[in-house]
Amino acid sequence: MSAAAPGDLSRRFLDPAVVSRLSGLDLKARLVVEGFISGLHRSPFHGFSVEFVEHRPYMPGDPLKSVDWKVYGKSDRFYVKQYEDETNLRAHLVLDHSASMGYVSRPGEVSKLEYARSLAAALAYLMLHQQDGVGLLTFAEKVERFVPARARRSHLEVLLRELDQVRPGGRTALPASLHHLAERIRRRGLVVLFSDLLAPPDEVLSGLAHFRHRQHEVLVFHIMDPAEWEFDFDQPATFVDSETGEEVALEPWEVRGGYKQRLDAWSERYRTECRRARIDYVALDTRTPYDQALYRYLEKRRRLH
Amino acid sequence: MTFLNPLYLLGLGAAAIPIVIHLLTRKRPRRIEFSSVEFLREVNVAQLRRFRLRELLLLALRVLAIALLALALSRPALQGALGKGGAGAASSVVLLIDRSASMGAVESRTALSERALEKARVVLDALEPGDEVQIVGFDAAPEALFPNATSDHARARAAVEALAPRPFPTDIEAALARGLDLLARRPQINKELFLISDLQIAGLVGAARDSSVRGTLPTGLRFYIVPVGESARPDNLALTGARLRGASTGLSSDAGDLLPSRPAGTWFAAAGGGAAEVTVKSFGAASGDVAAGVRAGAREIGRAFVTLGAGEGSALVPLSEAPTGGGEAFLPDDALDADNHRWFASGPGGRTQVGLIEGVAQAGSPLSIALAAGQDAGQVSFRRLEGSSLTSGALSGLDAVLLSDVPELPGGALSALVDYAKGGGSVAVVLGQRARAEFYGGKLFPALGGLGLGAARDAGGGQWTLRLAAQGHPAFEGFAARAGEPLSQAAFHRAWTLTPGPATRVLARFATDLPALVEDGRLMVFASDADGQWNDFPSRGAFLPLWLQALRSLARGSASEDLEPGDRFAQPVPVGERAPDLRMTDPRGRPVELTQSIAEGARRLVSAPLTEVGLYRVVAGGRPVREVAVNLDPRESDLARLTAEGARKRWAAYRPVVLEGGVDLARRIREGRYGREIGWTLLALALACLVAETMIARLMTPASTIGPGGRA
Repeated sequence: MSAAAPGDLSRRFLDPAVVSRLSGLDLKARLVVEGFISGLHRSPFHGFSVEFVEHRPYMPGDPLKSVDWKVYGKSDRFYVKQYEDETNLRAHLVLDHSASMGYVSRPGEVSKLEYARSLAAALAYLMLHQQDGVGLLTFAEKVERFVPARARRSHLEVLLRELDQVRPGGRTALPASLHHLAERIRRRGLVVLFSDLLAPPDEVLSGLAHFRHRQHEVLVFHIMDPAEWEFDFDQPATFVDSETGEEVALEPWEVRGGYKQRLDAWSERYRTECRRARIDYVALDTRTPYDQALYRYLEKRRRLH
Repeated sequence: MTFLNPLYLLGLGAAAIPIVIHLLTRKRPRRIEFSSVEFLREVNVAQLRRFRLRELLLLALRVLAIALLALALSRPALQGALGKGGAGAASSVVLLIDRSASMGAVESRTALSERALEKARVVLDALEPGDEVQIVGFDAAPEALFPNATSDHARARAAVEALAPRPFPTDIEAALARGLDLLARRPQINKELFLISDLQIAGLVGAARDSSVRGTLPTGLRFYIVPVGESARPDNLALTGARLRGASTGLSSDAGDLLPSRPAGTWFAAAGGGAAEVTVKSFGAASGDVAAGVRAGAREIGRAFVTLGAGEGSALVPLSEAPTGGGEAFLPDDALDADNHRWFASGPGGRTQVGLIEGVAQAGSPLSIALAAGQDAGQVSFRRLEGSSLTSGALSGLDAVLLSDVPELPGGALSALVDYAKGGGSVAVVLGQRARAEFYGGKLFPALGGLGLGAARDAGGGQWTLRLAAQGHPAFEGFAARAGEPLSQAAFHRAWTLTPGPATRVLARFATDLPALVEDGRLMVFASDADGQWNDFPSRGAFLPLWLQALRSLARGSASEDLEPGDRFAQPVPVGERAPDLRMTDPRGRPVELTQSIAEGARRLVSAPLTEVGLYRVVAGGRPVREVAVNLDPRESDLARLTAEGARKRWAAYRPVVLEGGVDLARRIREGRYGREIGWTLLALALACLVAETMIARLMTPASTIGPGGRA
């Protein structure tokens, strides 16, 4: 057996189960992103920098400080430098940490919140390295924390610290939180939502539509536990709602079909409505490798430019 | 519905197994924290009912499948109209066809036997291919014509056609028992028993089974009674007796004393051949005179009228010549021809050889006078013997030995007498005043049977008279039992006390419960004397015929003089002698097999059963020695029959269907047949239940995979 290439090793960190064993969100974020980048054909950072991007002929009204004098010295013409900073994205990561996000079906598995947190950290890392501004909003029953978007690399530390502090708990107030954020961020940008969307779909979609109304791009990561998709319980049980405490006694094999049918319809409605609203909807479970989500982000980023 | 293997119904209990499993495997739910029960709640409400229904359906189908399987194994069968249509199950049919003598009766110019055959043909025509049939011809005993039931219906038809009435009486109950036994061993669900008979009441020997037998009847039995007679009681005249009387007996002026019951007005005339006494009995026929004839071979040798009094009458028919070799009495044709003929034996073989031993030998003793009269009448031959020097040789050739007033016998004589009795000889004892109780009660009676002897008793101041205790015994033939008749006119004032043993038959008693004349196997004992010392019997008219008839009946054993069809002829062979060279021929001259048998220390030549009526002849060394008359049992002449209602009541336990003359027999048989065994149908239903259970389990089980759109 030949030894695994360094790139292959780093790609191990796209597996949520592997990442969950690491300590420190910064390490997780870095390893995930590096593992992700090692599989790409070209670096996602290429062309994204605060440095020179292109020259364009000087137009009256352009600030004089942007004139490239060296080019004038050589060509006797006025050209203006353009920098990347002008095209940078402002992204807001919106993280749901209601009690249902803390659900984990089997011991040792990754909870939805943990998955979302690692994914958010990786995205923040990636975005900041792309010179994009990243902000953070966490909520459960109400908005808990809001960190405005910054493009400084040092901002990553702030974000990771906030992410590290979120704990599952409380009932979800997803629609209210969405409306709150939509009202709060004025500059057009990207909103990335990490949630299990266990709230009335009409209200959630209304909140998402609010962002669209404000000209924001929206990317929804719908994170569910595999057991929530499969409902593969085999013993009669009393199921207790993690947020409301409501109990339902049943035999899983009896309701499995109906449950999955309804869940599929529910998920399909999100998918359909999001497509109609030009919102990117990505259904994930906590075993899905992180690169899927990162790809979807990059794709979205590319479309924005 | 009938179950052919009802034991398997116990398997219905297994139907509870799925329920028990269901209850035992129900698990106690545990608590699981789940992100949101919103969808579960909706599903629970919407689908739970459906799945509860599914669960109940599956449980019901499993229970039903097991129950159906148990039912199928118990082999249920639909009967009657329910089971009609389609291919029926095979039937096992037993035809009990009466072939007794009464079936020879003719009504509306058709013999009942012919009608029985017609009915049997209809039953056989109604058989389906694959049905099996057994033919049982019955009269006194049932006889299955095939070793096993046959499916060859042509063979059964041929066997039925060969059935003809036989001169035997009827035993319907025995036939029914045989038919039921045959059917009980057959596996078919349809079991049909046909009784084709004239249902003669005289043939109902033994009691009908009561309702307690219902549980032991073959499962699926249908019992059809097919009466073939028309009227309930056809008129019939029958010859119930015919015997030869000696010339002197028949012509003596005091014949009225000798034959005390003979009706007044009997006509007879002097003739050289003696007379034949014929007895005619009427069964429902009008009273009046009936002409009776006698013939020897094909030649008629006498004719007389018999006046029928209270349904019966006797007459002496004077004969123009002695019918050596036996004769036949006959009546004009009537409903049943078989009982219009009766044969009687005659010739040297007809005399009973008697040896007389008297305690005080005297020429004029009443017994010796009676025996001499019997010798003159051709009924007996007798010779005197010395009791003190009795040997086996002296007893050889005797049919009976009569001891009268003998105190005791010496040891050698006693041994010879006991050997003689064990060799088939008969011993008659008239105890008398000289008899010693220790000899008779202690030696002779115990050696010959179980009779006991007590002390002699006096009648006190009064007297005893003789009373009949065994009606119909041949010793009393012709004697009426009424007071004032000759038998009861004799006065007795002293007699020995006889204690009957287990096999002792008391033939006559004194006025008290004191046995007067008893029969114990081959031993006959009279408790008083024959010398007139203890009674005035010798001076009475009954003395002579009673002793002659008693000795003749004793010599013949307890059987009547005539044998009946099915009886065997037996000839004792004295101890120490070679078996005589006997030959026997039947009425048609064919030889009858004789075999030597030893039973209870006695040797006998015994014939095969004599199955025909008529005269059988016994020849020793080429010389005819005796004839044996075999005549129809007079019971068979009573043609009275059970009505349909009577038959239903008698065999109510069998739930019979009586198919009388006007009924479409074939249609009723088809209607009554059991339908099909539905075990296979139930088995198919059980399988269908299992298939349905599997399909419902698969189709109604929630999908185990996520539908499209479940995940990106």
